[in-house]
Amino acid sequence: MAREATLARPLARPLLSRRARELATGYLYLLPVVVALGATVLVPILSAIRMSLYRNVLIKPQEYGFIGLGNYARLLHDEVFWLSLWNSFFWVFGSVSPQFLGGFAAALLLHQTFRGRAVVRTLTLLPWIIPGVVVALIWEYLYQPNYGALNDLLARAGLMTEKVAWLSNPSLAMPAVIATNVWRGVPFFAIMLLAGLQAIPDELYEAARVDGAGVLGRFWYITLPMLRPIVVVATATRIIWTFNYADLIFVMTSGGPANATQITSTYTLLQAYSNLDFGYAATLSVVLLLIMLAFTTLYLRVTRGVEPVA
Amino acid sequence: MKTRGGLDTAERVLGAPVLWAGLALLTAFAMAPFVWVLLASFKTRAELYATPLVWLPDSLSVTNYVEAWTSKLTPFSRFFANSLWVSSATTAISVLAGYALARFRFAGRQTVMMMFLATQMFPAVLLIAPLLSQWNALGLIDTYQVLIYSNFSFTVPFTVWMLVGYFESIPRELEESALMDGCGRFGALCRVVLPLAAPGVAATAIFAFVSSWSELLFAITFTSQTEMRTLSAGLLFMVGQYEIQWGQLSAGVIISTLPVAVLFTFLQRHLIRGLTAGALKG
Repeated sequence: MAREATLARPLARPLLSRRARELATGYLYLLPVVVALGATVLVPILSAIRMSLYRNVLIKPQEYGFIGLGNYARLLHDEVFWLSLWNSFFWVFGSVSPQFLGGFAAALLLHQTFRGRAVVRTLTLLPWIIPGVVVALIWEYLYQPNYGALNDLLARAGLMTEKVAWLSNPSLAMPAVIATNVWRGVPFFAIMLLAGLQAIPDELYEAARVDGAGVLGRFWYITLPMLRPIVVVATATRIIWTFNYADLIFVMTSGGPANATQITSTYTLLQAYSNLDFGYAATLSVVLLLIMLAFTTLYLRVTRGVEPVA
Repeated sequence: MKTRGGLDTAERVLGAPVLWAGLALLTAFAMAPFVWVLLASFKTRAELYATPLVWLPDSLSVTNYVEAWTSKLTPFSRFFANSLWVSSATTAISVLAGYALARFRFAGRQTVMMMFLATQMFPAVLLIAPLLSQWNALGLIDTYQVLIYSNFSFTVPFTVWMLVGYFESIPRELEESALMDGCGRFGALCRVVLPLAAPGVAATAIFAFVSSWSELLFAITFTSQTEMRTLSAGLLFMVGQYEIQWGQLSAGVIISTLPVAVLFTFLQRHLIRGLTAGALKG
């Protein structure tokens, strides 16, 4: 019968074995990631390194040419670069330490059980999720000397007699942008540490309570050691991120007044956007990357790393 | 010496007031700047520039919103649509791309994952100059693709890492049995894996969406025409144009914040769990 004949026909042998086909499909799925990151990360980094070895100022094409480490030599004598590096460290540690302390306190609060916890969590974590430009503009408005809220509040409280131009005063601009960044970063630590707190088994606290440990004892001997891995990861990523982050300062002060808020990443942008000096901008960004690599290596050694990656 | 009972009493008596005071302080700290801008977005011109400062607008005037939305110079409706399209496309592709690495074992997977983690360390400013030359050579300046592609540089490593965490919590046997039963890989993904990983995928997608929504430097470098600007770029452009119109700008700020704030309410719960899954490993 026709039906039996169909069944009896030998199966066409597949061109590739099952295993090979499986592998081929897998690599096919892999392809988009490889292409995406190759084209947007790997190739650009290599060309940034190459660019840093050239004199490449867009408005002076006649001077284009290979200059070896010329840009790096220039960097060593560039006072603004060294100032920006110093400002960067000030910016990073001035931002991250209060962010960590505030975030830790916030996480401990948000970890408690209370009515309306979901709403409070959402509201208090919001500053972290909104765009950097939005953060910058909100605070620029708060700091605005004539129509801003801050001067008005301080004047009403009797703490201020003359209007302060927060962002155009060289000694106040950096603290002002740092305060903005702290506002933005506290929720980050709150989220990370809250996640860490939730991962600590309740049994540990129960056992400690039975053994007579008080609130502080439980905090010191259970909470802190158990949070250690996440603290290491969160602070490391935040330090790196803050060091590289340019948006906030770029929007609020563009590194001014008189380079008072010029950090290395905004200085790189300045070289690229205003001076159109792509060779020097690339040099600065390569140095930025090297500093971060050195930092990460050192940091992971000092903190003895985290558990090996899965 | 205090006894255990004593401390617990102290905890009970002091706990509630300390908790509520702390929460009130925290909420005020986080929300006050938003409240200020929200109020400003409803103020009339006279109220915005009054001395002494007017804190509460007389009426809830939506003029600023209408002006920002329909403005010829800074059309927020257009910026909004651009941001929506760029962020959605970036998210969809990044999440799909993330799946492969998360699910598929291949030689050198560990190394690739570590390299992805390392990309988190790269400053965006490092990529700007080379990407600009590259996109310029390819004639992609002032297109949506250029922003979508550029955003991959930070969304893809992130989605891969987050999805690895979620997918690894789903037993491979489930997917394998689906393959045995005649599902294709894509079928297995849609019918077996995705439903189980749905919360994690949603969290990852929202996060990718929010981070491309916030992106600024690529948007201002790779586009130059007003109609190609995203919200972030549009807001910055608005500041650079003329004397800052705080009313319209506040409306623009609220328009840019609202979508991510809504998404975040959904994300909040998952994000906290998901981050532990990823972070404790890495």
